[in-house]
Amino acid sequence: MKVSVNWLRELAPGIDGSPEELADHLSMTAVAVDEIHRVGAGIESVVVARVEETTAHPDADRLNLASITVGTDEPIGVVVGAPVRAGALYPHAPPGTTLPDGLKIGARKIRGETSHGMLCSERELGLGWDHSGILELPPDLVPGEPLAEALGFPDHVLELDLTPNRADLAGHLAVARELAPEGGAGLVLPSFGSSADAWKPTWIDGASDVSAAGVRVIIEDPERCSRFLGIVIRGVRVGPSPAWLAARLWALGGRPINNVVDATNYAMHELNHPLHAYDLATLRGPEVRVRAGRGGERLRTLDGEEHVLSEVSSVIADADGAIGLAGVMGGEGTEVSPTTTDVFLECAVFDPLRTRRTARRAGLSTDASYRFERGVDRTDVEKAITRCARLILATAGGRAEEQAVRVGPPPGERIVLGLRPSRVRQVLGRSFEREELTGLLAPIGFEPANGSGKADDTPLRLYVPGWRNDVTREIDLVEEVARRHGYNRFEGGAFAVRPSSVPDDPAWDRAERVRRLFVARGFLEARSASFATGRRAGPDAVELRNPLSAEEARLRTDLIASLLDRLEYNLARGRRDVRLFEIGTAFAAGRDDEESPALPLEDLRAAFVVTGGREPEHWGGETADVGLWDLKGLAEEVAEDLLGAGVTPILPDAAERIAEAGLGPVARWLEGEAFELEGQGRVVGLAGRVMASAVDAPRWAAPVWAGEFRLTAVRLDEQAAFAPLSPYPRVGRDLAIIVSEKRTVSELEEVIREACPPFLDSVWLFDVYEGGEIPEGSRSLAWRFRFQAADRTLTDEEVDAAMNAVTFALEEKSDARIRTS
Amino acid sequence: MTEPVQLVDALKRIEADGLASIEAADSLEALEALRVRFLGRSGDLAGMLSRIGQAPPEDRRAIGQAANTAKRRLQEAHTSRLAALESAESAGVAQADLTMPGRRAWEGGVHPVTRVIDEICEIFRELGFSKVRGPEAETEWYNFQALNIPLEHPAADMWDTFYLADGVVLRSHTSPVQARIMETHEPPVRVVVPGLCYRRDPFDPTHAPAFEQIEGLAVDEGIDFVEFRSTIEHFVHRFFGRETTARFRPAYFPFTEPSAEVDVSCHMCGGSGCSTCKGTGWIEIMGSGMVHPAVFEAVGYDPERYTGYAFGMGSARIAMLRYGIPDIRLFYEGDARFLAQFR
Ligand SMILES: [Zn+2]
Repeated sequence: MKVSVNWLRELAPGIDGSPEELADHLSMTAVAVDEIHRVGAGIESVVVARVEETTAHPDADRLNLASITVGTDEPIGVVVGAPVRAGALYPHAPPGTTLPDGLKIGARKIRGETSHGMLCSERELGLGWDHSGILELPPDLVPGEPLAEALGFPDHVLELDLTPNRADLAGHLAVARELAPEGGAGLVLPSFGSSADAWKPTWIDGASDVSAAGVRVIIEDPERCSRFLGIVIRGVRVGPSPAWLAARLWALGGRPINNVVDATNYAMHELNHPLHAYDLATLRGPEVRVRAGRGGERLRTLDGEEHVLSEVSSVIADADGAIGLAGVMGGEGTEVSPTTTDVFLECAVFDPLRTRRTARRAGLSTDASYRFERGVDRTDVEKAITRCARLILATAGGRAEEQAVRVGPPPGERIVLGLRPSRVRQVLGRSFEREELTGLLAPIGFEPANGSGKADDTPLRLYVPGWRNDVTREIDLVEEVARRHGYNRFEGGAFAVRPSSVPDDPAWDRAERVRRLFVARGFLEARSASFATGRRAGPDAVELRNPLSAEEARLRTDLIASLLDRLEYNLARGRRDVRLFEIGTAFAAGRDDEESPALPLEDLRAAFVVTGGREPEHWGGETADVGLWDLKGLAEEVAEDLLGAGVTPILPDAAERIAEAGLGPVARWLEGEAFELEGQGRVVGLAGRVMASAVDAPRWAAPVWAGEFRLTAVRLDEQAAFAPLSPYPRVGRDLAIIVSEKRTVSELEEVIREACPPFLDSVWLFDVYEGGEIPEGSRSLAWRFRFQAADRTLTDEEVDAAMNAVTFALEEKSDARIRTS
Repeated sequence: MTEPVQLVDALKRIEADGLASIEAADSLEALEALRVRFLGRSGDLAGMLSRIGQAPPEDRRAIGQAANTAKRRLQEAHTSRLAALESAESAGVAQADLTMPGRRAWEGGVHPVTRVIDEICEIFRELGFSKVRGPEAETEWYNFQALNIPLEHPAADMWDTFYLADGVVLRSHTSPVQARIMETHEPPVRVVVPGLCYRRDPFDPTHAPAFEQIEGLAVDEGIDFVEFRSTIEHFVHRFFGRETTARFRPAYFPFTEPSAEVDVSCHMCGGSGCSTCKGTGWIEIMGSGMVHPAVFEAVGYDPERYTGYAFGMGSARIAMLRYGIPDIRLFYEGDARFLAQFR
């Protein structure tokens, strides 16, 4: 929302300070100012010129020669590329001018004719975006006048970032009230001339249906419109607005249209009431009614768009049908045109919600709908429409009918709110005297009402001004006190440490444990938006109603989906070694609880993806790629360190269990060698080789491995336990056997452990051999044993006996044979 | 009486001979050969000593002394020569170019946004806040109404929200967790809530459709605006540094009142204005304010008894400030070159 500093100063002459200081003051006490623009700067040498006559350029079809004067009799010749009228005024940039857009003007020959400077468009002057023609200036300017000075430029425009509660600041008067040192007492409305200012209507009231001055106004649905005021002005001369009025609109980035329409816009920017002017001759009846749209009804709005209406929309209709979208935009058929002589002026209060729905349905957001959606002041509609009528009388002439229409209930009693000084202190932490409070609030309209008590906890009674619809309870007044006093003046406190009845959510500790493990193993943490891209969404992914794109229309069902996107991103940039992990949420349909059946299931997960070299390439030797046993080792570490679980190969019958655990979407990425991470009898994660078809990988890429597990399965109770260290020597033995391939290592190790005495410290497989002298269908396996007792030095006999027991068990139970060489 | 003299002389000759040879030895092999020849079990010195028994007892002392002296000197010479030769040898062996790179393992890294979240939460944990979380898919009730945000109102437009179904949204801020926590816990409540939020903003340098936020909430008897201000200031000083100042500006959030936007002085220009702060000298870091009584009413707290404050900040945005990252998309692309910078 833009406000003109010149305009503010006119409304509140007491406003002091540079535009920057005013912007800072607003930002620190009311509403943020995003930007400050200068308007009408850099056009100091542009003057008002009158075109005396135009002739066609002898040498170019589309150019004309204009003879202009700039206050003297001496004609100046300029070449113009767009139509101009003899007798009209235009901005003339003489040779030597540099325009705001950087264009340097000189005397130059255009197709053989000399152009002494140029006539400018709106855009060339920095007054707007229009570049389609030369800007015709208001006729009340005087040729030869410097244009900027005549328009009161330069001006500064503040771009306000209005918050929904302070829609009142969309009007200049309200902004001036915030800035004026005396507040409301320092405001003056500029005069439109004594005869225009003297005009006053007589209101003809009615609850829902009133006729006056030859127009009937009906509010069919009071929920859509609570108040509707109308004034008839006859015999207007529609034409260009005077320079001062045009300058106001240019400064705000608007365009002058004609003196009637410009007057409605002026009044809106001044008093924050949208108004609309109808060409009375086009109103059938003449009658104006506010009602619901009818299904199939059609309306062409001022912007030329045709709308098909429904009951959702609020419309203005005449006796024939819809002529406007109520509170949003008028219709094309009834707009004020150069031939209009009689005007019906409307100022109404349309319902915020109905206006919002009407605007949404039409796909429109206008200056009017913006204001009505946020609520306008019901108490000063008369003031706004009277002021607008006076401005029309001043600029377009005519005669206003004394009788004016006023429909709908009058505003009720002024609202009074209580403000307890004790409450102010409780919330703000600083004591304010009662006088201090009124001193802060009265200037912005919160005048004291009768019946205020004196005690600290009896409320100060304050009127709520009509333009502050947002203030409805005591706390709103407390905020007014705080901002008027200045937020940064509440100093002197100390930060406090206080207790909390809420325990930590263990998910954060779990995430931290996972993060430590993966970072220690050389993984980089990734973060993804939780949308599954196109083909990566699982079969039953939760869909978004209003996605940004069809590509990201569903929520991810697993984290590997996201990590594969990240992986492809890196592969596409030529990176072969990628090690990523992520902690985040996977979604599935159907939480199906009483809160809302449509809420999805959310499952916190951790996942990783890894491909490329096992370690960074080094000159000292070949670097192998991450392979099956690296993946399994990582899975074992995750399972044992984090989950208290085991790692088992995925068995053919596992699909159902995996699906039950909600890990079906994870399983779909894996093929061939894959493992279940299993804890407390449940599948809590999966890891394995990612199927080649899942990744768009270049030829040089290495196999891709990935895993995912549920964060809730990560253990927290673990306290590292100390086991005493034996002071006695450790004894080592190796054992190699030849055994059928059908015997798995895990089953053989079970046999070994069972056969060993308790003083077995550790045993691990260190060699596997097939082929050579080993018979077909068998393989040689070798284990290294470490024995150590806590309480004594082991004798050779004890250890030999243990190894014999192992050998015997392997021979008996596993048909193994000792390999001696 | 010639024998002892001869023996002593012979020992001295062996000694001199040995010393000279050892000194002249030019390789470890040669030195070892000399050690065997002079000092070995059947070397010259040992051979001479084996003859000590033939000498008269009164001379044996002198011979013994001479033998010991010779042995000691030869051993010393050998030791010192050995060290010299060994170091020369090793110097010769160390032909490797020691500037060549060592063998490394892959290094992992914690995401910069995680780092910032952890750092922020840690500062508040020291002030007694616990770290909680809440669901990312929410009902409209928690996302809007419970926070005093009417639907179909311009206030609701402050959050352009993704819908999953009628009444079900992806939370557009972390604030719904405020209501959830207060519904299930009695005051005093003090929580920080990191989490993902979703808004219908396409990816661009400063927007992401899903982004991390940290919500904070403190409710108790006797919490006022002054305490809120000084707590946030304490955070700003801890996180951005002592020299950074905070300022509070009026703002509007339906669930806080008074509401405040918090700015910090620009760390790039120190307040004089630059491109980071768009010339203002200030950078906006959080929305905040005193908890609105309507929010207390919605969760069944007595707004006359309890007061509190709440705040929310974009962790990714703050990470951009902290590390000077110009484009928020870098956080979510997963480019290893980017992530590896945060080790
Ligand atoms: Zn700066």
